[in-house]
Amino acid sequence: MSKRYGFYVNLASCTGCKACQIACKDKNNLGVGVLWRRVVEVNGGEWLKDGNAWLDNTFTYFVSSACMHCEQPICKEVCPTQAITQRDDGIVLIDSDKCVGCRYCEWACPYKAVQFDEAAGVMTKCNLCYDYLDIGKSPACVSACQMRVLEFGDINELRSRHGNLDDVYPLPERSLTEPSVVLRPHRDAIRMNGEFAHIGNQEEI
Amino acid sequence: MHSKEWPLIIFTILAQMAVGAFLVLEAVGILAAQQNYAEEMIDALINPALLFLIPLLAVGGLIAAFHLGRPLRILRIISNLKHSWLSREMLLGAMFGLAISVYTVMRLFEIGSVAVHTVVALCVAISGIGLVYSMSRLYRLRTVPAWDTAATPATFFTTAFLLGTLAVGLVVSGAYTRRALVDDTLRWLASAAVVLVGLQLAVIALNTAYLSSRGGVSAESTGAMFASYRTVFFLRLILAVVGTGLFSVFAFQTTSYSGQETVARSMFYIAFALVLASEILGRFLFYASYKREGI
Repeated sequence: MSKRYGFYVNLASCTGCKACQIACKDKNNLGVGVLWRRVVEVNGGEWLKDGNAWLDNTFTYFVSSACMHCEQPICKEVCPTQAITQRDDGIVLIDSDKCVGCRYCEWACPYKAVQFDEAAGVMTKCNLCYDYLDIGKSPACVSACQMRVLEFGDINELRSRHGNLDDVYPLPERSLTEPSVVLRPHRDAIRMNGEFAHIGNQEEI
Repeated sequence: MHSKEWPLIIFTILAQMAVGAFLVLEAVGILAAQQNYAEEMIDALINPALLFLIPLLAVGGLIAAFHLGRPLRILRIISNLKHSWLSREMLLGAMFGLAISVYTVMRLFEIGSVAVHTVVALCVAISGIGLVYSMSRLYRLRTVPAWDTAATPATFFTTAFLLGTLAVGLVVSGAYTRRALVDDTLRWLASAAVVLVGLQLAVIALNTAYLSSRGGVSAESTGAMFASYRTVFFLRLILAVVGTGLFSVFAFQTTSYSGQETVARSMFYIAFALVLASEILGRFLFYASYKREGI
């Protein structure tokens, strides 16, 4: 089987520091409001009354999410100008020369991966630092993580080592786009419709 | 997030109105021919109305173009006919625009035989229906549950026909042709309008219930929409009913009693404005109900 790139994210160790997000912004010179990697904060749980005491049953975990370089990339399907292509190694790329900035892909992507660059009037997104890969370097986010939460490589190899979990809340179910990602869940991570957990940093992502 | 999509709200309304109005005009022409009205009289009814459709489409198209990040690259949008409904919509829109322009010129300048007119009219109709259909398909994203229902094509088509019916009624009421033909036409249009607004309401009610019952993101979309825009939702329904009612009542009034033409015409303007406002609000709510699976 030929190599298909993907990410592994160890949610159990992610502290939400956003070093990955900043490293990406720095490397790619992203403008204000353009986030190729987003760190989603999930809050949930409640305080429980026990007699005169209040017990803390709340939780928080973080999900660091860039582009999933999906096996069925919906962005590529809907793009009217064929600006979005997928390489044989699975990396999904946007050719900004072809993009007209219709934002249809932005409507479609359930990972918020495709970001509109207001100044240029085109869509942009994570390209797995393919230029770094070509010279044997890791993607900027992977290198920057202090907790070594992120790994990258052949998705099948990642799955053989880390399992198959890829849809921890708030990520959508796998069948929509078949993301190339494997997750190690935080101990409080739950797969549900957000009833007892919610995104706590909506304005940051 | 997407409740500020005014360019698309206007574009989809205008384009659908143009398609609906064309199909309604053709239906009126067929009915009139069946009632043995003379060809010249039918032409005098239909031809002036046809002229309004091209500007509608042109203005809508221009507005849509300027919602792009790079409007000057607009022609590239046709590049993915194999997979993208947006590409198909653009192609069908261009075909509809071209076909209706050719058809209008042929009718106004009496070029070509009836057979040729019929063929061209069929091309306009097919591309127009294709345009509205492809518009509805492009919104059926599997990651946006509130949009991915049968209500999307249903409301796009009922919008097209309802706005088309009222627009044609307005234009036709001022036509310089045999009064009996105008009267008959207004009666047909009034009946159609009542049926269409009934269909609209039924689709809205059923879809709202359906989305709520599905839970998850579907229910969240409806919940959020009601939380923020409850007044708009009910206002939209009231405007649709009042506008259609006004049109139908005065259509039947003016065809039953003489001397009512001027009053009726004013009422048709108001009725059209009310229903147009209703449809614009309805489309606004559609975009406001956008909520995606995932992040």
